[in-house]
Amino acid sequence: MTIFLVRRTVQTLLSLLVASVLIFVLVRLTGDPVLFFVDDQATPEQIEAVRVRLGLSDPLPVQYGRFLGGVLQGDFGYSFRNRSDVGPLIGARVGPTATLLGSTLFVSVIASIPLGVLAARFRGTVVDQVIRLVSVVGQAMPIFWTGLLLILYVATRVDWVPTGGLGGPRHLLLPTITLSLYFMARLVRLTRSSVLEVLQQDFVRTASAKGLRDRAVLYKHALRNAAIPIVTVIGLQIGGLLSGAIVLENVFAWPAMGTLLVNAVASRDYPVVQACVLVFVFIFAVINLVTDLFYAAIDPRIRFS
Amino acid sequence: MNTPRSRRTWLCAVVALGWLLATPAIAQSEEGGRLIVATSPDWPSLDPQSQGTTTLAYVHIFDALVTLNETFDELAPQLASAWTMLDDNTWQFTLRQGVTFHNGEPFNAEAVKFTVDRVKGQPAGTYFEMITGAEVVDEFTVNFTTDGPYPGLLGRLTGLAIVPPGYIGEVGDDAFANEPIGTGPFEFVSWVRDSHTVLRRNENYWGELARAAEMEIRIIPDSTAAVSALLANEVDIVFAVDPLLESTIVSAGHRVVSQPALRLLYAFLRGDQGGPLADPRVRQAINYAVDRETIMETVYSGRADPIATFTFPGVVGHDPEATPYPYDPERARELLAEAGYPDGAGMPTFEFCTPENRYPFDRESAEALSEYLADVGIRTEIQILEWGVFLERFLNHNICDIFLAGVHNIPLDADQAFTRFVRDGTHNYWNDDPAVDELILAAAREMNPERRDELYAEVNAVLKEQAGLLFLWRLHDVYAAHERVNGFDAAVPADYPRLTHVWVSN
Repeated sequence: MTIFLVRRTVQTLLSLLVASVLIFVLVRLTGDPVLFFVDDQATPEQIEAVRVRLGLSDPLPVQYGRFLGGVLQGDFGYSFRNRSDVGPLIGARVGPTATLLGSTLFVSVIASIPLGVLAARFRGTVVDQVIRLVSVVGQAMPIFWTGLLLILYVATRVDWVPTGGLGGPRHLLLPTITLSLYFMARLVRLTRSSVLEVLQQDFVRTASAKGLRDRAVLYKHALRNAAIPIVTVIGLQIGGLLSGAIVLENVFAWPAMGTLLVNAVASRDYPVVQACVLVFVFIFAVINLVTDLFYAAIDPRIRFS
Repeated sequence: MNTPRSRRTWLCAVVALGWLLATPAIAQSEEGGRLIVATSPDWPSLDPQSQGTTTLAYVHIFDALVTLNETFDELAPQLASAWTMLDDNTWQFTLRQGVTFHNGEPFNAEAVKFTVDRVKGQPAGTYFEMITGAEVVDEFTVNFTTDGPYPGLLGRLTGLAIVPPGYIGEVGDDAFANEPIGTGPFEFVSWVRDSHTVLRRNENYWGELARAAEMEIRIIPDSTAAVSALLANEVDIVFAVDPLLESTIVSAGHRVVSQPALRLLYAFLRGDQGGPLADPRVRQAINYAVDRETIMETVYSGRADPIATFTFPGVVGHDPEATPYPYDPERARELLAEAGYPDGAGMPTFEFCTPENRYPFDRESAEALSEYLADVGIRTEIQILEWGVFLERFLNHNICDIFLAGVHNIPLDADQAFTRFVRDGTHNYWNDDPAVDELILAAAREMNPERRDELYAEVNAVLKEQAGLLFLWRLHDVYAAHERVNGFDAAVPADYPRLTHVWVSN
């Protein structure tokens, strides 16, 4: 187990390093940031002066070395556009991003698994069909569309539901519903098919034959054995959630990591883009690690060494 | 019996219920209450010298020496109470006395000098290049020198927010950019980037106090969501409203207010790369081929005005005699034939570039224009460019054959609008004539107002004949105002959004 953790940590660090090189090069292919820091009547001398001030006149390896050295010391650089160190800029967005992802994960997992099991248990009945229909619709609706519909038909009519903005649970309600609907659709369908597959296996028939109640068969035997693909997909889908959240932040005026990243890309704010992407890669790597650890918790046959 | 586990579940349930039942504090706004304005995008920094644009936060926290009057069409004194010209290159400003910054720091000639010196090294500095220095004469008198006669100086100074030397020296540039202090009618309270900015009325303001006691500027990127927030009584004024939402807003009892903007829209025609567009007749044909009235009526719901030149009424140097090209497709075909391209034969397909959502209905306008051009035989292919790419290609002069772009006229002086079109100017794609340069620069530097108007009339005549651009229209800034908003019947220009006369009541 310890060896496994060490190996995975090293892997994670390596992928962060590769990602840092990639993003450093890619962001520099998007165009010249200097033009965003001067007026449209600037002279070439003024433009050159800004280039020097932004530290963009040095050779690329020097710039990369400075960037990596800074990151290793916890310094993500300085954003001229925002007149601020990048660290606090990102720090302010971690909370809103984590809250939104957390509430979405919580709601969608709590809701989808019972629904999926229900659909599998009552396969072919009206219950199954309704659940399946709802999940197809949930997946087919673009996030911004669902969000706008909820704003127009819920937030403008129900006093205590705000149309958007950062805030407490009331503000979180509609964004969470929107993102959860999208996320749940896949999860419900997957849970249903995984459980169905397990239900057809011999040990389930044995369990039923020895007189166990349906509930026990479903939750103790079937779901537990169906859990591995479900956990895998949840882990993988968090990447999709991150990008879905970017659209959602715009609709609900919920300024989190996505808004910061999109604005930074649009204004070629290299230090912020680099730092944001690194943080996303880090989140993704950690979630993958956690998913792997979950396997062992779910399935006693899996032992890491 | 309560096991720890069931107690925890119970606690969670109570907390969740509490969240759901918690009712919001209903905003009790009376005269002097909190004015909530929805706009987007947020400004990257609150340092007024870090960008060339005048934002909502900027016009309320800071004052300049000179400002726009209440109807936003003439210059008026602000921190300078009077000015005279000592000679063609020297302006003397008499400063208002007894003014203090929000932290109590006195406003004086030193602060003005500090501001001028500081802006030189800032992104906004290029707007003030012609100022060679500011010299303190006494505590409330300061002399500005320019690098030559420059009649447009006063207009430019509307964009020079006076900043506090003591405070900046003490806390540094970065802290100032996050917690600014000025002399303006509102004081800074708080700022959550990309979310909201809160300002409080400056009760010690030297001029007329603002009507609202507090102002909250909320950043709502999605325009439908912003209007929904108004309908849900969460915000009072929404900037940049889609005219298509007008009926929804009006039927809910609220208002849609619009005002001609300080921004004009053109399609640039690149005459600098040879080919058909280098021929002024082809460029004139393009100007005749387009039915602007119909596009303004259909695409903009009538919220745009025709333009004939780079200026509009109210701008010093504006030529009221300049007339726009009429819609005359026959004349367009004749000119094309004269130029050797009857019905467009022998002409390549031009690339027609536009940004998307940079200006109201930019892509839609480009598409409509493209159809009109096709009618007379000029083929174009629309290309939508991301704004960063657009800007970069524009500044490097390697953008498409035809492209849509806006030009704003905030200093209310013709100079800024025209001087961009001298041969090596940033906006020039057609002028290769030294005589035209001479004319434009002579007009910019002419100190006699009547003579200056005459010169600009000449410039306009050249411009129309050369047809270096497809003149389109003056945009309108469109706002929605909640029924409880007072003092907002005449709107404000979005490029100078001053709301000190606006307040909300129940």
